[in-house]
Amino acid sequence: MSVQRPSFLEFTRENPAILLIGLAHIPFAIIECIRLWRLDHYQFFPFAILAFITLYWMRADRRKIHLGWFGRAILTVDLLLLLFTSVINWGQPAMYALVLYCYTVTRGTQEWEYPLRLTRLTLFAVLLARPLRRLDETAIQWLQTQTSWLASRVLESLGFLHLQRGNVLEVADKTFLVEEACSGVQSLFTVLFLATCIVCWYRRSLLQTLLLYAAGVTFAGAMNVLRISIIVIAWQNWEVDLSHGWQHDAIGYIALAGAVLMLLSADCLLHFLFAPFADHTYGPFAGVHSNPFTAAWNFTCGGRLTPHRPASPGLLPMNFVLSGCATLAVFIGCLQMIMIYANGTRRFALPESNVAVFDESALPQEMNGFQLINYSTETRDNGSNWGEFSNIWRYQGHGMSVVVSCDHPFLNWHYLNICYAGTGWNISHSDELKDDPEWHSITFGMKNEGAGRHGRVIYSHFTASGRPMPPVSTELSIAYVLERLRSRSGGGLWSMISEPEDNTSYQVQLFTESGRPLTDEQFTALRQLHVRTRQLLHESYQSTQVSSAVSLSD
Amino acid sequence: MGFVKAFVGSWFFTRNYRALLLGLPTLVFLSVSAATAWQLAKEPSDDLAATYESAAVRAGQLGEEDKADLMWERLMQMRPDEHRYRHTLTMSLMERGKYAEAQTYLDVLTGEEGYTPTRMWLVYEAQKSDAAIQLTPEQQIEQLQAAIKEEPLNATAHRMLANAYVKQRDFRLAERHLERAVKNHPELGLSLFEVKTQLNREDKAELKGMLRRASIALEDNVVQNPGDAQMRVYWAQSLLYLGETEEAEGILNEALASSDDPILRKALTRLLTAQARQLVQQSGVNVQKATRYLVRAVQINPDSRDLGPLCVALAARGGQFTAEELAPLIVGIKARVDEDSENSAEQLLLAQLLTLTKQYEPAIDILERFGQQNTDMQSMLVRAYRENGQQEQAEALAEKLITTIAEQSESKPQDASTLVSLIDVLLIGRHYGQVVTEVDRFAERSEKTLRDLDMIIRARYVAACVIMYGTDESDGEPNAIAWLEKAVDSGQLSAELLQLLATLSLGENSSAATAESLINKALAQGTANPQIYTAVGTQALTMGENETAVHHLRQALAQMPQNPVLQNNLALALIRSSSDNFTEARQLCESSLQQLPDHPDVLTTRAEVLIARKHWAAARVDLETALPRRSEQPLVRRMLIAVYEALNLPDLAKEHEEALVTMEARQP
Repeated sequence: MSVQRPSFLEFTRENPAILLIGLAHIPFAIIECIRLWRLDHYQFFPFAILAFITLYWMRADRRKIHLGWFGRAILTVDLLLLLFTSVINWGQPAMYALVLYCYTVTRGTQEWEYPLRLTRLTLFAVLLARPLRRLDETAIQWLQTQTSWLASRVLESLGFLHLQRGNVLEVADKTFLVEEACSGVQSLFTVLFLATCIVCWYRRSLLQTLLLYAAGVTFAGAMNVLRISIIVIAWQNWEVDLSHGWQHDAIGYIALAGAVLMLLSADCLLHFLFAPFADHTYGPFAGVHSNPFTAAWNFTCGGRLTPHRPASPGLLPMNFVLSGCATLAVFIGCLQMIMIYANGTRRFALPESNVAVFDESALPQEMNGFQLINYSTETRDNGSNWGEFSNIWRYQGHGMSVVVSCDHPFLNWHYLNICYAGTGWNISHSDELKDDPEWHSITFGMKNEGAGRHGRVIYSHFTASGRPMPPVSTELSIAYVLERLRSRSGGGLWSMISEPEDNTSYQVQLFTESGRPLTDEQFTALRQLHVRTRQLLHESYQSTQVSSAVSLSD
Repeated sequence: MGFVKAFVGSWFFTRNYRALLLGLPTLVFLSVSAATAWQLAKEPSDDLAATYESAAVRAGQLGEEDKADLMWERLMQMRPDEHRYRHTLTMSLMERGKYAEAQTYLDVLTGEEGYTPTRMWLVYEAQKSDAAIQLTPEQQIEQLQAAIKEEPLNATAHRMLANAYVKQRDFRLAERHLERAVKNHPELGLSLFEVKTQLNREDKAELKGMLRRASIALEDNVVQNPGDAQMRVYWAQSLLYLGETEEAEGILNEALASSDDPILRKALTRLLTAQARQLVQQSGVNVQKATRYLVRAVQINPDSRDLGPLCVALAARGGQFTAEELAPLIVGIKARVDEDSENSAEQLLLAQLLTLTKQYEPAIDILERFGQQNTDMQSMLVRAYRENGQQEQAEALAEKLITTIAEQSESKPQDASTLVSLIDVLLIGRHYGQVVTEVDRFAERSEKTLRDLDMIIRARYVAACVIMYGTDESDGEPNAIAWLEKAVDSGQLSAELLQLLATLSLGENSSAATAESLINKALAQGTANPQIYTAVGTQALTMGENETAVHHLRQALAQMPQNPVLQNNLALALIRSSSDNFTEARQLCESSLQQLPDHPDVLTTRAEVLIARKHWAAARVDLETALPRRSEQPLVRRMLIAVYEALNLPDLAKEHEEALVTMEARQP
């Protein structure tokens, strides 16, 4: 007799409270997904969502989700986290809440065909939750650095002489990979997503999952090495430029396809090596006399075939807890909707700007003992990591040659250390400067070992409305949370929900390099110059905004 | 054991070998990648560095500088502690004028852990007049000290540091560094000698020995590298210090014949001008010889800016130049004047050179064009007009100048420099009496005696007095001698004054006694006694009063025992007064000839001394040596006739007799 799985309606009737809690996650999750879309390396996320939903629906028994005390505890934490993120209007932790929710749901769901839980599907949610302190960017940047170095060595071993500066490769008449110098290996997360698909599809063990992820990282790196090498070789041998346009995209996709094929191959190899097997040493009735090595192997390699047992009821009546949770979820969901409505969507799109926002006269010929040498502008691709526009003044003084640059536009704080690391600098130390209590800046020292050069950068941001931007935007710290709470409480409840976030930024940076580290006097002069230049640029920007407003009103 | 066997067996039999086949690419890939990564993770090999190095050199040779820079930069990455790559790249950037880029590397190379060749290059470059990177003397010393710290035996660094200390007049530190280096590099003995000379080190023998060793080492260096002009100059310099002037000159001339190197030309010019100066310092009789040295210097290096003023100075002391001899120098200065019409010093120099080579018209042209506002040039223009026979213009301009400067003098009655300008133009305008009046008035206004006035004023005062004496005397003025009294009272005893007094005192007219009393008065002043004795002795010799000449010349020589002219004149006076003085006279001649080798006048004197004792053959040699340069001197001819007759060479004697007759016929 064949047993039919329940329909969607039956499933919702069976688990109304849990699904309602799930809906409460959606508003902020959508916003975070829009944010993720702006990050190239996260653009696989629609597929991840689709894969999660598809696999869950295909494999779940669609009956009651058994939470147990552990599941309920996790769900409580999830709701508290969601409430917290809604109050301070900060979307990123909402994704962590979503991970907790997915874990609770998948852990409580039995597979239809196998005596297994669907817990491993949580990996999809984990992939979508951007780590704090931009560890994702750090990871892809690290991989880019390693692969650039390796590609450089490969090219040298093949006789292609060149110069590697960070992630940028230079030959006599061409410089490669400048634009992606600070973007990192974009395909890493896509490969990890595909590895997750394989793991979930084939129900691989934890050990195989970890090894496959490791293989994924290796293949992403290896394909990047191959890609970089091919670009340089194609230019040097045949003068074919594969570093721009469709050729560049094509070679990127081919490399990605190669990585996927290798990933499938690696999965086969891992399966060959680590597949669990039944212990037939003593026949089907071995019992306590079964082979311990085999048992250990199967335990390690995911051979646990124990059927799932439904959890016993907890201390509180199930209906009471779930009703409370559902009520809270409705409230949180509404709160998030109001926040999103009030802020609109402009905070998520890269704002418009142009190079004429500033002109040469924005900064004087002489200031603080520095003399203006020249002025220039640069325009790059929209969404460039260096900013689409740069207005650049070069000054000399105090024994230094200083580049003052206003780069724009950016969304939130733009971290320059990644960009400089990508062009061959080793960041030695970083510090937050509090020259102005309301307007902090970041400084970092760096060294180019090969050239023996020392570099120093000071930079800060101001927003499109002319407000100084603090150098913390995605860091999880008590100070940051308190600051967000403080900024919400200033204008009462209405301001808590209505004040739009001012996250378009203009970056003012000072850069100098020399053969010797800066003296204390030089650094002091540089700080003073930074304070002065950002003030002047800020004033110039505001006067431009006023004049454009006047002309509009006329 | 059974469990293990069973486990292994089960594992093998339950494997999916189709999966292994599909996983094979991964297996191969991981194996190959691991091996490759392990291999590549090692330090870059020396072969790879050599490949980059040769590629960089090749690119540089082909003019692909950007490519070469790239390669050097990669080498710097590969071997960050090996500064020679950074040094090469820096040099390349500097050569192409990319100073800002080069500066970053220079900071590294000249920092705490720097590179000695870069430090030395930087100091060397900074010493050039058009240095792209400026260093203060202290920074130069700092760099050189660091270089010596890195390479304690680096002789060049020691020498450069010693030079830097010499520039700061710190000879002791310079000596210390050179002494440390000279042991292994004897050629540095040359610099050490110069420093020790400055410090007045006493041990002459040791110094000479060191200098000789330096000279030998420098010669070795020149033999090993004949093209090294600077080394050759050092070698010549060492020989010059050793007194081997001709050898030094020969070395430079020889090198210059094969290579027109500016360093060699400058060095030879310096050598020749130094010799000219030395000759003039030794004796005024060497002026013409010094002139020849300067003419040669002009031919070798007409662009030298020192030569023009030297020629003018030498001409003021009686040196004579022709227009052809100074033409290259004049052409160069003309070019500079054309380039910079505001440079009055060059304009004046050009006018002076043109004047002294008797090219009055171009000199007048220059002075008229540029000298409207310049008093010195106006004064010179007056002289040039006069020399060119344009007396009217000369007088008119002189009067105009006198009026202008007299007005200025009126407004600044106490200003000595204005007075000097005024008396200069008065002298040019031949208002000698007015010169005396103006100086007396100035002394009165300043409440000073004549002796308290500036030497330059007194010199002009005396010159005016001497001329006024001549004028009044020729006019039959009975009190003309009063001008000479005024001149003696000024305390400025010029050669002209002394000669005039000597002539008068040896005469037989009424002024003789007064002149003698004035000479005694001058001797009582005690400021120029040797000059007074010399003037009187020489004049007495000229007038044939040999006893008086001997007396006064002995007095003069006692106070200037090394003066070769006095030695020569005394020898002449002695032998003319008595042939018994032969020994003393001959010794004096030999002594004079040591200082003025082959001087025709001294040779002539020695010949006269030898003739007095009938040493005909020896006298013949001296006279024949002197003859080419003294062919117009009757005394030489007469002595030659006597010598040839004594040696029974009538034909030769006759030849000179004929020449003497022709010569005497030519003279009025």
